[in-house]
Amino acid sequence: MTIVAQRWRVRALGLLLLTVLYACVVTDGGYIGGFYEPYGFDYGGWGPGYHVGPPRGGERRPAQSSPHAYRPAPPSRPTPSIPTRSRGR
Amino acid sequence: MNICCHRARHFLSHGLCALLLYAICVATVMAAPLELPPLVQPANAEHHVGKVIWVDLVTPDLASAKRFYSGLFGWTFRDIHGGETDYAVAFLDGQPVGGLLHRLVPPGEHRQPAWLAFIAVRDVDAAKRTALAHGAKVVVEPRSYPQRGRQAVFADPEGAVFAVLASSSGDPPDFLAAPGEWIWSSLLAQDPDTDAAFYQALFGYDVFDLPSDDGLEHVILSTDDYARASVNALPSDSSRRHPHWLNFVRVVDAVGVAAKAVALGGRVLVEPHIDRHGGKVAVVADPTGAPFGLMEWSDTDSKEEPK
Repeated sequence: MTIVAQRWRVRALGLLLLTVLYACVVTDGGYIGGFYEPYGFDYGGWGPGYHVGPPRGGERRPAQSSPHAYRPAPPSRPTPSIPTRSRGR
Repeated sequence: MNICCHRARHFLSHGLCALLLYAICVATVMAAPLELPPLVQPANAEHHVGKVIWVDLVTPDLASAKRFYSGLFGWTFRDIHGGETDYAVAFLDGQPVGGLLHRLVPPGEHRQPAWLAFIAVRDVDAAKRTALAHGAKVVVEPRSYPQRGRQAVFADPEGAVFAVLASSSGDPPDFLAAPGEWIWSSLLAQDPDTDAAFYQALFGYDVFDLPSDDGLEHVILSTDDYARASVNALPSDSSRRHPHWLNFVRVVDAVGVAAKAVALGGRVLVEPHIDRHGGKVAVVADPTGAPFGLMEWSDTDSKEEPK
């Protein structure tokens, strides 16, 4: 084998090594938008008055009585609802 | 002998070239990002920080999930492949409504398929810094997708998992969801007060406390003067309850859709019942166990004038 051919072989081997390293180091084309929750939790126990949905909007709120970890909206502001405008389909 | 050596070298040289080409192809395919469609078409300049703008289901059985949601809501699907990922975008009347991601559960593990809510931010990396500073954990580091934008997955201080997304095509405008589209999201938390403070710090929400009939704390998170989500105390009668986000699809008839979900292989987790707005809500699970909500909402349910 000539010296030129040997150099080409060394270069090819180097490129192969770099490619393999690239494939190992660079994250794959996979998607990150999925997450499995822990298994075994359950639902239920939503007794009467257990409401999770949005309000209809415009309800007046009582004055603040107890401190909160969050900054509550001023009592003068009525509770907002979800958008009402339809897409027009 | 010389001829044999020459042939061996020749063969080795060609083999090396073939291996090199193969490795380059494999590396290119594996590193190719998933070509997700833009959230909004045509793109707009709207930004609604704090709004749930996308949801993804992770499931070990993509075909079964497609059959179920197609039968339940009439969704259609467009398959996308990237690297080793199988993903399907769900559409309703031409509008993208969510994504279904196929991912196998690691052998020997029990994991629960789930819908993951993506909340709008302007800057994912800034959101990461704020989230970490307020007790969250990074579940998946920020990553960009060419047409979708940049996104990351976090766990809040109680462990409820959510994602943030800075959409590169703008955020979906504030319209009332059509039946079959996602209309609402609720966080069920051990301590709604503290958790609401976390989300307020992250998304700048206005927080409205609500009077409750059950003695538990319920608050509304709002931006742009619209209610975006609720935070609710987990019912305390069981230790097997887990802080989590729950997303709701708008339906016309919660009882009928819940029954249809069962007929399609799902099950009812919370029976349909009247919620605070006067319509019924229910919680069901798809055939692989992923929970989601059903919510009736008539066009006259809102008292507010359109903004």
